[in-house]
Amino acid sequence: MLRIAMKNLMRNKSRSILALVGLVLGVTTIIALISITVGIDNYVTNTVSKIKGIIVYEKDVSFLPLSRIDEQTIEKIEKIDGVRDVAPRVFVTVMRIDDKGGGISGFKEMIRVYGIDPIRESKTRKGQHPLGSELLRGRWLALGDKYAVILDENIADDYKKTVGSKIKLNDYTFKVVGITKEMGGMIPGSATIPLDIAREMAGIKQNEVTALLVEPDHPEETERIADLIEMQIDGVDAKPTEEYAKQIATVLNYIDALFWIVSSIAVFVAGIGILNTMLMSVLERTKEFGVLKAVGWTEEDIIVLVLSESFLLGVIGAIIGTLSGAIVVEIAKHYLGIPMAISTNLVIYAWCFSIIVGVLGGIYPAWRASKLDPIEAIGVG
Amino acid sequence: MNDVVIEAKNLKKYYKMGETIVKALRGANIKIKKGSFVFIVGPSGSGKSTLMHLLGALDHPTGGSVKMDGKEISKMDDWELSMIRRNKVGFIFQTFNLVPSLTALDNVKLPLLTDKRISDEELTARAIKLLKVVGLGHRIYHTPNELSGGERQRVAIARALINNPEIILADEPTGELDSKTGAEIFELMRKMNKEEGKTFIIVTHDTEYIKHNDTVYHIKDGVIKETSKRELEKNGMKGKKEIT
Repeated sequence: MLRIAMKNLMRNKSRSILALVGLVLGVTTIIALISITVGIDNYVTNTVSKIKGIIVYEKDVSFLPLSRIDEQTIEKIEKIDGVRDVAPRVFVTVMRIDDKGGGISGFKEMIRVYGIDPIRESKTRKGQHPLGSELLRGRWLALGDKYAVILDENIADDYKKTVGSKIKLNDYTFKVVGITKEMGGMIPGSATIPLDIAREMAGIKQNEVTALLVEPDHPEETERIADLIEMQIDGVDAKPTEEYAKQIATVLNYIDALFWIVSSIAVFVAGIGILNTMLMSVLERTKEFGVLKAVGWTEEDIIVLVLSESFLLGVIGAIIGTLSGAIVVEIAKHYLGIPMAISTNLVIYAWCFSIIVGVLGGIYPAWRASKLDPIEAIGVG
Repeated sequence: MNDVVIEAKNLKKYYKMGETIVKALRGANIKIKKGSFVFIVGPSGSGKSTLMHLLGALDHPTGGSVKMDGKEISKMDDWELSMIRRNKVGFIFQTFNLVPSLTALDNVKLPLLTDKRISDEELTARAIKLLKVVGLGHRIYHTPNELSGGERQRVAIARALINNPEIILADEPTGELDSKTGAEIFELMRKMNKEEGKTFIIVTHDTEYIKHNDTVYHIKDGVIKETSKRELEKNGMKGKKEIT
């Protein structure tokens, strides 16, 4: 039956394709929007909110990795009363490890890499890892380190690295000098490298960094210090990391709402598209259904045939939509520079959407086809 | 009367056309024996197609009865009629009515495709055998538009036979074919009639292919009279083909 249904769809390819457009758009939107939202959400939760203190970044920048701050800002902030420590950060997105990855492979082969200034980090943190993690083996980064990297144990285990091993991140080869406890979170691991190399990898200028982490003398003064920084330094925004995460969450809520709106519109448009296509196709094949009835097909048989056709449209829409959604996510990954993945649940959801819309759109045409009078349909007499 | 495969008594069929009622059949009687090769002739509008639909379990009569194998079918519901058509009747149409996207093989399989009682392998084997019987063993995987008119009608004949029906109803089966091809199609139908013992009921207004000892029913003004080729010729119904 499905084979016959498929052949029927192939008879008028352009019409079938038109019907698919709505479905494909719907599925693409669902896959892309959700993956991007979840990606951003994970990224923010895993990077910013893990750090206690204040994050300082370029004023009004739309997305944190795109932020650029002049290094001289560090000294200006240091002079503010109540600031204990300012540490620069350069964010690097690594999508290939030891020449693996880079495809639509999701989180694998994607890790957080931070460029840090070892001197500044060690000044006030007294041997603590810059990300607050405990050193398990080896040593921290030191002044004069170039292609040296500290991995968390997650990455070290995954890639079978130990102190002294080499690891290639994108196009740069590093020597592992230390291994820390794992950081947790959705993105499997993090690595820390010297600031200069990170700049080179991220393609930012020598006197610039992505963001600054500011630690106040007293944690309860975090908000006041953040306000002070914004007032006294031009061209930067300063937010307590918790607040920053909250702000992102608000934006994500809007994207979420947008998603539901787009989703509902997609259901509607795609449904109408399928309905229209199937109805045209059924009316065009009036005679054929008449013959099928004449040779003994029951109304149920005809309903099953037409629904099979619209079901197939749903499946094809799901396949193409998933692929194009994945492409959109890849593009977003490239431009936003953050890890994103399409989850299995999401794909299942999108498939259900597409197939249900497909079948729903076929119900009325199927009923119409089944009710055709064979005599009138064949048109003899 | 066990050898009567189909019997219509006082068959009436009225249609409403706007305000007027068209009486297509006004008390037609016919009795067709198992294994016969029967012609129904008559001018267009005489009610011959209507009769065909009623005999073929495609429609409900306004009055009267149709018995197939002694079973009354005129009061059956749509589903029961579908089953009658699936199990007992084969149709051959003037315009072949094959599904253009399907191969000859799939077209032949079509009537039983939704029938759970037969496996796909069995159905395919039966369809291939029938295509060979109608002389299309080399055309199994061709689609209708790759076939000539005569070949298409052969596919349709194979399709009409797939369910091993008792009765085959053919509505102007040669109407779209040239005389030579038409003659071949009739030859094939007569062969099926003789070798397989199938009952053929052929509606036509084309007397060219009727033989002198064939049973012929003449339908006029909604009533049926038994006649013969000789009588038809006497009354001026010529074996002239209509060119369309």
